[in-house]
Parts: sequence; structure tokens; C-alpha cells
Amino acid sequence: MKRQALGFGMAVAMSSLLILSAVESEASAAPAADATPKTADGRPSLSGLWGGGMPLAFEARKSEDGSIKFGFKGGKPPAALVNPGPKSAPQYKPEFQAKLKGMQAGNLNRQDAVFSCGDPGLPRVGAPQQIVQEANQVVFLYAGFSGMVFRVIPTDGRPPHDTDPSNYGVGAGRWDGDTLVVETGNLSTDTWMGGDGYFHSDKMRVIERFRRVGETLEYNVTVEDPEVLAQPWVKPKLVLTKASMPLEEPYPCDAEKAASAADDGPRQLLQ
Amino acid sequence: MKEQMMTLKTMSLAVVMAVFGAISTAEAHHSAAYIADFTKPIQVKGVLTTVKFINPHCEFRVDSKGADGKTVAWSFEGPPPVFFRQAGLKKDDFAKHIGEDVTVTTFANKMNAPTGFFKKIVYKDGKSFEMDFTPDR
Repeated sequence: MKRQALGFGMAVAMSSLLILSAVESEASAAPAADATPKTADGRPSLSGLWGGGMPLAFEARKSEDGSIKFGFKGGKPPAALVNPGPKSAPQYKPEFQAKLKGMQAGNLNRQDAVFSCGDPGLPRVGAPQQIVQEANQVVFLYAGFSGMVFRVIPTDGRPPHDTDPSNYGVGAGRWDGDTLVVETGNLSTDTWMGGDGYFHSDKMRVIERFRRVGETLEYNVTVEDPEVLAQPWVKPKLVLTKASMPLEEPYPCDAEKAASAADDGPRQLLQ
Repeated sequence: MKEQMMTLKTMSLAVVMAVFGAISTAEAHHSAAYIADFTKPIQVKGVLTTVKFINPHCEFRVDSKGADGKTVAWSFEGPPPVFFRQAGLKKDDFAKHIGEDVTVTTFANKMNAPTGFFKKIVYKDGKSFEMDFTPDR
């Protein structure tokens, strides 16, 4: 019983926020194509709030004496949280596996910039929480635990600006039929591609595919890094749903507090 | 029966803390299981001094007098503030109790540090606030 209990907790620990904000879908009940909203120039409209905003629903249940119990709305965690399914992991070249294992054997909290309020970078930041689509560009907005992030992605083929590598790099978008493909490079090696120490080289390119189907948005991510990966990392497809809560400035992140908690203990490997 | 109940409590807290611990942005943050011993619930009595609604997790601080008479500043970690906010809870729902004698239920820290996950707080008037994440409720 105890093992089951811990197993359950571990299974939940292996989930990611994306699983909370979107449901992996094998069989999607796709609405008719004509139900997909279009822009004035005939493209599928990706604009809007996506991912549920605050997908986990909570409630405060008040008892007669005024005491409060805080828990999941309805008393049960979402099914996708309990059974998140297998987790995808990048496959590193043999010569980099020892480095990864060494990092994972240490205190990842101390090595993880996000733990101290740093940028998650791509693709770790996840799917955009809001998209603003214009004729010549799309703007991706995020408000997370590490702060606010925006990405401006040209879709008209204009040349990228000249810049040093950065946490969100330089992206370019193009339409492949009804799918927006965003390819981003020039990414700083200060970030990880995933939370378990998944380092990358400056050769990493992140390819995101967005496809609007009715009131859902399919989000696929492939990470290419021929320097360190044995093969491209194809992440599980996410199906985002329309969110109702507007994006707001997140509460500040306390780097000092986070840093002091980093030595509370090495986190378990979430694989 | 007692063991079953304990297991259920252990499981429920492990679930929610794993949830909270797993969230940073899109990927894992830190593991609750390595920090806390969920089989060892403990109670800390003292004065609520601070309530912080801040990312990545809310924080509650309690000054507790130890057996040696020395005051220890305990720090308890809650969920991200947006979770509370989504349930209609505001910072002041907690902060209005600052200065009161309270009893906090948490779980033993494996490093014996005066920190822990926020499970339950009982205020001076006897009313309580509890994290309730029993999965099969």
C-alpha cells in the first residue's frame, strides 16, 4: 500500500505543467474544418488565450465552524494528472550521456537557472499562453513562475535581426498549409531543453508546429541538436484548449528564497 | 485502519506536493519527496510572523520557541499563489492572522531544517485552514 502511494506521488511528480495545461491526445474529436476561425487573409486564426490559463481547478470548502479545506475542485485531481502517460526524454549521443548522468546525480536545483528565477528558455517554456496573430507576425505571450516572456515571430520572411544568442533565440514562422511552423535558433546554452538537466549546444533548433482545429490548438515540438542529441527529440503532441482567465503579471519570483531551498535536498530524477 | 488512514494522508499530500513541486514553468521544479518525510507529520507551535504570496511558492513563517527557550524561525512552503487565488483566497485571508499563536502541521524535513510543506494551520480562534488533496475523496 505504501509503495502504491509513493508510486502515485511519483507518477504525478513526473508530470509537467504542460500536462496540466493541455491534454495529450491520440484520438482527437476534430470538429469540422469550417468550424476553425480564419483571419482576414484566410489563415487559421491562432489568436487567443490557450492552455486553460489556470487549468487546474481548485476550491476552498468552508465548514460550518468557518474552517477551510483547500483542494481540487470536485475533490479529484484531473485524470491527465494522475495518469500522465510515459514521459518523453531526449536521447543523447553516447559521449554526452556521462555528462548528463553526472549532472542528474548532483543537485539539479543548484544547476537549474529556473530554480533561481531564471528563464526556462525554449522549448522548456512550453506552449504560448496567449497568441496575437497579425498579417506579418505572431506574438507569443507567457506568464510563468519565472516571470513574463514574449516572443515576436515574423511570418513574412523578413530577415532576422542580428543578435547574440539568447534564451528565446531568433524565430521565423511560415505557413505549411493550415499549420504554422516556427523554427527558432540562435539559442543561448544557458538554458536547458527540459527540467532534468537536458543541456543543449548552440546548434539547437526548436521547431514548433501550431494547428488550429476548431476550438483547439495542436502544438507539436521537435528539438534538433546534432551536436549533442543522437536524434531529434520529438515531444508528445499537446492539444491546447481555449482559456478563460486573462494573462496577468505573475507574482514576483524570490530568487533568494528559491536559492535557499535549493539545498533542501537533491530532487529526484523526473524520468 | 490507522495505517490505512496514514497512507491515505501520505498519498494525498505526496500528490499535491508533487504537483506543486513539479511546476515551475513547463517542466519540473524540485521534488517534494526528497525534502520531506511524508511518513512523519509534525506540529509546530508559534507566532505567525510572515505571509508571502510570491513565486514559485507561497511562504508562511512562524517563530517557534524550542525546548531550550531559543526562538526558531520556521518557514513553510505552500503552493504557487495563483492556486489560492483561483479558489478565491486572498493573501489577507492568511495575513490577517499575523501575530497570532498558531499551530502548523507539516512533515519532518529530512535535513532537520526548520522548513516544511504547509499542510494545515490552526489559528488562535480554533478555525483551521487545511490542504485537502485526498485523491479518492
